[in-house]
Amino acid sequence: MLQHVTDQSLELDPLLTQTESEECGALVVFGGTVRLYNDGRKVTDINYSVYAPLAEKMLSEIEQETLRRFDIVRCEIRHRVGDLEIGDLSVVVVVRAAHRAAAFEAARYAIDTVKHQVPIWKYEVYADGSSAYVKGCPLHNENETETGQEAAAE
Amino acid sequence: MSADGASDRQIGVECYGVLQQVCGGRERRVSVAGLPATVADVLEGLARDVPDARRYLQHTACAIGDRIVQRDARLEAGDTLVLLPPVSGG
Repeated sequence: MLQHVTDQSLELDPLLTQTESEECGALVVFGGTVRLYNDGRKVTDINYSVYAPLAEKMLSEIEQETLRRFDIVRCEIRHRVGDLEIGDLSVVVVVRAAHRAAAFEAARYAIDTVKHQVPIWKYEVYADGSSAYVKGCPLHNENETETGQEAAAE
Repeated sequence: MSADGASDRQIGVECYGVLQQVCGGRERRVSVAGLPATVADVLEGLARDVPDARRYLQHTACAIGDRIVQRDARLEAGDTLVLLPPVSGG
């Protein structure tokens, strides 16, 4: 069963309830939403695809690493995939901590890491009829093979 | 075993992101000289079959199951190599 990735609308209330803690004086929620323009182009349709086996593992590890690095009590991350509409919530990070500084820092770290390490791809269709996968972040740069070297030379 | 053994020297590949688009679908099979094959062997085979994919492979990570693997990792018959081009979630 998938814990972190869903093709359903992301619901914030259950996450807030699930993470309630009397130890915490700070709650930081980051939500990423689909925006109308990207690089000056009007977006009409958007699809997120995922390699779920690794994405689930990475999101769980990011939660654990965020808990380890910062003085926080809870960190939960959810990412939506499939067809979304403008304004839809695509990702949400919920952090609870005793104090706000750690909560803000942890939430920033968690979403930045999600964007760099989780195998999810955004495909956009634009108002002019064109479409493209959004340029992303390589998961790693280790390419010692001839294929990689040839590609680099092109 | 097949009559010519060719199907026994193939590795399943799953393509995501822009590679799915370039390769014309998510799943395909790539022929290799022999098994076990390295990840690099499979990538070279894919680039041979789909020349347009070659320029994306340098920045593509590879996985088997939920594990990222390096270019010298070995694949046996029945393994599936998952190709993960630069990611853009969030």
